[in-house]
Amino acid sequence: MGREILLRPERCILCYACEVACAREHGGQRNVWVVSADGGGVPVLCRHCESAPCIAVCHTGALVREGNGIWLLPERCTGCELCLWACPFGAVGLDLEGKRAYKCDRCAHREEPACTLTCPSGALTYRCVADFAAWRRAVAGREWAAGLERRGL
Amino acid sequence: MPLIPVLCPYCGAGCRLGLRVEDGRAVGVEYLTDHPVALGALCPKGNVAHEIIGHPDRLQRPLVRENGRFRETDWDEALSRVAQNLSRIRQEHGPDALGFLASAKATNEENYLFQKLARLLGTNNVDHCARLCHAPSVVGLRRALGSGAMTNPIPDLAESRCILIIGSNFAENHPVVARWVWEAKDRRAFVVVADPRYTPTAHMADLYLPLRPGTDVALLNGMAAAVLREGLADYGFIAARTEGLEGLRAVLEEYSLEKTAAVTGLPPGDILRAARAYARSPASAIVYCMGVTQHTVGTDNVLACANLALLCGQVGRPGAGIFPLRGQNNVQGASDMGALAELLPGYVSVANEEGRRRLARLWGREDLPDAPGLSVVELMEAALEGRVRAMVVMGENPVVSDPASGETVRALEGLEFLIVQDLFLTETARLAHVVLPTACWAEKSGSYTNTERRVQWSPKALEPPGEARPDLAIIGELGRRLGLWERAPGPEEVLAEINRAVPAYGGITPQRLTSASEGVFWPCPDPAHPGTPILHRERFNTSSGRGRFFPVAHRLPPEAPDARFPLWMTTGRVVVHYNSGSLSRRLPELAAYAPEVWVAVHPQDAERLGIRDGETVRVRSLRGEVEARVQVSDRVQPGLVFLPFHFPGVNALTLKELDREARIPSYKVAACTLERVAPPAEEG
Repeated sequence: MGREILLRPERCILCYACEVACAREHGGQRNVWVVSADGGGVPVLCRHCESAPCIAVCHTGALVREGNGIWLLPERCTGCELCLWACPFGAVGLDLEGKRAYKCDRCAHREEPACTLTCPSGALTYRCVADFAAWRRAVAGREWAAGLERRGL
Repeated sequence: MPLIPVLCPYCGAGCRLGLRVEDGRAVGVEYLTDHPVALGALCPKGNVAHEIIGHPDRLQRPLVRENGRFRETDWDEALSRVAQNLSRIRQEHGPDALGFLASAKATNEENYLFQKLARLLGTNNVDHCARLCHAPSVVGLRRALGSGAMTNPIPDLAESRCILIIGSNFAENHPVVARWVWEAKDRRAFVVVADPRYTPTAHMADLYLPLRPGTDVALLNGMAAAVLREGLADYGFIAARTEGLEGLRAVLEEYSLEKTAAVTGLPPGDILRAARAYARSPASAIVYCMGVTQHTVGTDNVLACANLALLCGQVGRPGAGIFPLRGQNNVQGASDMGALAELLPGYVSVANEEGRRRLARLWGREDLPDAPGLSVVELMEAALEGRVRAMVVMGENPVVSDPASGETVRALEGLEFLIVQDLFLTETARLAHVVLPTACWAEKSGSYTNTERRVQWSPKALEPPGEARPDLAIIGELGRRLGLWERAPGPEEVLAEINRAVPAYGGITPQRLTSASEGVFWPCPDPAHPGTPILHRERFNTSSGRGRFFPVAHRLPPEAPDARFPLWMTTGRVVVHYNSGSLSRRLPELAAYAPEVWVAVHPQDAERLGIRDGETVRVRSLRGEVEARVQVSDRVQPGLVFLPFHFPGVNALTLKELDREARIPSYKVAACTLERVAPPAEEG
């Protein structure tokens, strides 16, 4: 199973390392936006949706699904911005100079995405879904066991 | 394309990054996932560390100031001027007319040689910015536990079941620490954060304690008193490993929950909850930083932390310890190397005759100066009064980072001779008579000691630009010209001498260190010793071997809001910038997030004062003023404003009053007022 960029958003410390790393890897243009919310933060980036609104609206086939991801082919992009409107997460950007859309490509030019490697707190992770879910279950299990213990069960 | 594993130049976490070097230029960074603390992670600053190296502002040639202007010159003329002027002033006014500011960013070898130079010239007037950050840890924690250093490694926090974070905003200032605290949280650790500001670190808290500025002793005493009242003290530990409880007990009697609540402004139930959690957990940690140390009661604050830890037996085991987070990449090392006015290498007091003479003999002398020298703030005062006439400033920017920095400018301007060694023409360098261009961290090899006492070697990755030279070469050549030694030594050679001068570094030889991928924790007295990740496991480093309780009482700060200056003011940092900003403000990748200074004001205060978000105001204290853009924010308390000190001018407002023992200034509390600035006149 392929690895994806999966978040533990409660760990986000609003340090913006992911933004700076992503910009560095992509010629100054970042594909991740850290949104500040209630004292914490959430890095927002393309979810590579199974049933993707961006692909649905793209009239030139610039957005394609391949493997476990969605890839943007800049040479086909006309900069119409429809994908930007359609993405429910605001995870598509527009390069105003080149008039092309851009979005997270999971650092296709690297072995592992820079954001997941750089995240100091471990909020951004590069795992397959099964591993990630198992992780979450381990923590939840401990919580529940402790709760049950407190109730004498 | 080679990847050179250098250390990060910024903070005391001591992360490593892979520097991509192409054709002698630094072109990028890579993540080294086997680093034990960072696991490859880098904060935003580390991610663009390579951009400092080839920055166009890098100084490349020595500069001398003539008729108010800088002209480029060669090393011979520059060093000749430096040596002549230092000699002459020393001759005419005595060695104590000289002052030396060492660098918490330079290597251990450079700091060691720098303080050696000062002391061989006959003065203990050598100090550095540890004075402005963790001097209370050096003084207070050393007194209580026998060592001022962090007791456990950072990853050890994952083993804690309760973490009390007081006066630390590591989420912004030591971001990689957050991972380990989260690992603890995933194992159900209870996290308490005490800070007048709701920082990203406070956001991690299970219990947030927004105490009033300057009330840390009250809170810690209140918690300790609650521990005693509830019978939660670890009497077994106290009996076996401490002394002085009765004195502490006496002072703590008056710290009822009600009194503590009244002083701190916290709900009594929360103080009790924090105390119970800390005392009951099988392994508890105290993490502290500038919010604890940068006060006139900084030493008291540190002692109060130590008291609480000793009372509950929470030190000397995995997950249980005291974690003073050192800021600079090598402030721990610079302190270990004795770049401090009253301490020789290895924390030997200058007044300790036996230790002093032992070092003197190592250096080929009978004795060394025995009177404590002037600390950072005192050096500036002495310069203002003409007692210190020449200063050598290595990799520090006091014009931006000193308290009451307006006075620092006058002090430096009044010096007969000022030498500055730096990468850039900083605000301080602009005042110098001679400016020496230095190699940056990636352009020289040497050892650095991070906040965990982990000594790591950083290899040279590329050549410095132009004629810039490593500080070690500069100090070495200067010492030779001053007749102090025969030739300038290389880093391995100096480290070998450090092995002999500093017992804790005895076994951290060049050979061992250059191949130790995870570094070596001091104390490491001999080459066979594995190093010491956790301190105080069996005994404390005090003369009795026991940890000592030192009762302290809540004392008021030297300045408080009044009619003229009705607001508390505090300063601090943000994640994208670093200290005086000489590095981070030069990098648009970072500076774009925070391009100019701001003042965070609570909505209630903003409304009362009639000021709006985005408006420019003048922030003024008794000492100075600065203009800043208003950021209306509920992250500060009503009555408290916050300014980041990364911008010149902010420290013109801060208090110079010193902690009487550690001599650290009171950066964290002052009184100020906000004044509206008339809007700029319309362009005609």
